[in-house]
Amino acid sequence: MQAMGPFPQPGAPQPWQIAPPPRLDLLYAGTGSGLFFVVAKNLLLTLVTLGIYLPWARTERRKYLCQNIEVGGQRLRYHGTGREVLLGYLKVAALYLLLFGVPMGVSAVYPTVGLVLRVVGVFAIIPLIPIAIFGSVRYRLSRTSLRGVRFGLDGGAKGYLLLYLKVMLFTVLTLGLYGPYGSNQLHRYLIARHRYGSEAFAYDGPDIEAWKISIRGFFLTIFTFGFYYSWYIANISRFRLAHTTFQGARGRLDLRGGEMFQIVMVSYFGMLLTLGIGLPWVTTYALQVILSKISFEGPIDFGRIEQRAVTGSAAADDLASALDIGLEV
Amino acid sequence: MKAPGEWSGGDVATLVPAELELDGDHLAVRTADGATVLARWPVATLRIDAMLEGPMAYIESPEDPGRTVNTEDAALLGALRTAGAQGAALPGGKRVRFALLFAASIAAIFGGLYAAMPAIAHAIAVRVPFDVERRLEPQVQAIFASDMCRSPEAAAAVEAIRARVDPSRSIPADVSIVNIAQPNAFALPGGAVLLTRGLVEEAQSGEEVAGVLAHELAHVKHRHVLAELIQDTFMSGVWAVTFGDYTGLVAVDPRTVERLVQLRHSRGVEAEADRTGLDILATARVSPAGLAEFLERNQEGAAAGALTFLSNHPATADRITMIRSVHVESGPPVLDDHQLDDLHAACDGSPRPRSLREIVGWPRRSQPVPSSSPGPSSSPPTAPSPAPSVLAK
Repeated sequence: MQAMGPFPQPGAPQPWQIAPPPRLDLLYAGTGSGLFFVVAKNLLLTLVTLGIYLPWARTERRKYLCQNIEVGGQRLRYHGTGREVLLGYLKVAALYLLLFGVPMGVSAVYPTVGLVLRVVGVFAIIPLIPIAIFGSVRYRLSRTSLRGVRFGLDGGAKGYLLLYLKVMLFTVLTLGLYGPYGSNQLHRYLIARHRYGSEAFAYDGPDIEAWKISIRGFFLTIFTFGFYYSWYIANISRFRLAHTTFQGARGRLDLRGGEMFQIVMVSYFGMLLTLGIGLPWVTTYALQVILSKISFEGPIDFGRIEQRAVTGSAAADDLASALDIGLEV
Repeated sequence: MKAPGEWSGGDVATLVPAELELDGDHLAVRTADGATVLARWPVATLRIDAMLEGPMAYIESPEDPGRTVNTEDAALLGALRTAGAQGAALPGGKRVRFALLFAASIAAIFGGLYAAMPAIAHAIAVRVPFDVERRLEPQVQAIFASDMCRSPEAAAAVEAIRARVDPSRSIPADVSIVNIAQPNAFALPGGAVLLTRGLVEEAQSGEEVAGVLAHELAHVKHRHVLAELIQDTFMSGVWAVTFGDYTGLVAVDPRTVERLVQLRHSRGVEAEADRTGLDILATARVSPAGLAEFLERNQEGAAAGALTFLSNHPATADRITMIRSVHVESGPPVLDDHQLDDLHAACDGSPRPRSLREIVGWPRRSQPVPSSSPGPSSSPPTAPSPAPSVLAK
């Protein structure tokens, strides 16, 4: 018979207790008036410079939104510059001129050749979309840092382009059924190439699970005349974050469908009742609610995270903007 | 002056507790125990990141790229700014005042631009050589090419009216009849003037068509269409560059085609065209009573719900009064009976008339159209869609 040890004192850690995992919370510290100030200043300077200020305006707005995001008590920092965006604009303008301007000019002299070039130009847009998405994500990540270390996106856009085209083809062939399945593959492709310094993110969300959530979301959204859409967005976002890992930590989103619906309603009526002037406050509200629900649970060893070289140009980001691909915060 | 902070060396994501000290014209950064100097930066080179809400600010120096120190100590930050560090943050109250000032300035700029734009656009339009504007005409004509009524007899009647109101052809316009049921007329970029099938079939005299044509020729003479096109394009451009949708400036916008044929003239522009049109009629010794009768008939049509486009323009009654107040010593009739019959039969061999929206093809929305073509003496066909009329404003 073993002798019993001294009885534990109240409040002292018990050997069978497991300490809660370290947790990294996110929050948004921006204010509506601060964002309104940035937007109003941008609008005025863009007007008086006849649009030349636009690249700097976009950078200022993005900087405000990004730098007010706090991760584990530390702010994100945004290092993009207006000059980079301007150079990107010029490249995109040259591309548009090549794809649409040149065919128009040729049409005036050789209508048939011009028509062929126009068709080619329209079809050339399709592969540009994934290239723009990939390049835009890469640019934004590479210009964002936390604790002095930059984020990044590894690899080239070619693999993403091929996957995008495959998903597009299969989605068309299956009358849309493959869409959610392929969308999860595209998401995995991007997340698996996200890195923070030298450490990579990972995504282990099964395609079939994502598919089930999306198909259920699709039909319930139709049957509920659109009301379920907020619940679907919350579900798929929770799923995606829960399957995102970084080192020993796993993402977590505590946003429920009802909360998402509340965000949508507040945003909708906030915009409607203020004729759009309330956009900065609506944006702030949505970011505050959503980011406060995001966390990463598990150990992260910041000492292992080393700085890596900065890559990426703003051209793809500008192209994404030109193609109306919504990648903003 | 000393303050606590956190040091980032830029090589790994670990933050080191640090002590910041303003030491003369330098900022010294040491480990928290003060034992190791991590950096010593001239204050004049420092950049304080001022975009953040809350007390935390990041300090860095271009002399030491990649390395950063943060602090929440307002006293130290204030002292650094006083000593010449860049990047002062605006306090909250001032921000709102500045934002309101900005918003008021933007409203003033937009308002001023909106008020002055017609005059600016007109000043530009009259300086554009007409040959340049003429280059737009083939594109406009191409839109209507398959909807033209090509009766040679009707064309001769139109030519007779044209010769009467503008004998010297001083106004460079090309007048055609288009197979649209709605009684209407358009002056388009490049000097193209289109009289609709509904208009010529309904006309009870050559004077009515002459009155309408004189009004449209006045639009061409004053370059109204080009001026409004410039104004429209400019305002779209301002909108595009302001809100970042600059692709609209380089990409082909199909709505441009619709804008070309549906330009809405302002009241002032219409009044000017009315005055000049009446001058043209007076010089040609054509009674404006025909124009007034045409407007009166269509005003009745509007009241009956058949021609809703006219009901949008309450000034029509004023225009009729003004036109009736002008007395012109009339010359011989503009058209004889035979020519008027030719005009009525202008589109007899043509397929069913289409609406303007159907011809332009944008937006793609089907419109009900009359199934049969009315004869020359019948009442005007029901308008399939309320296309804005240059004449009707």
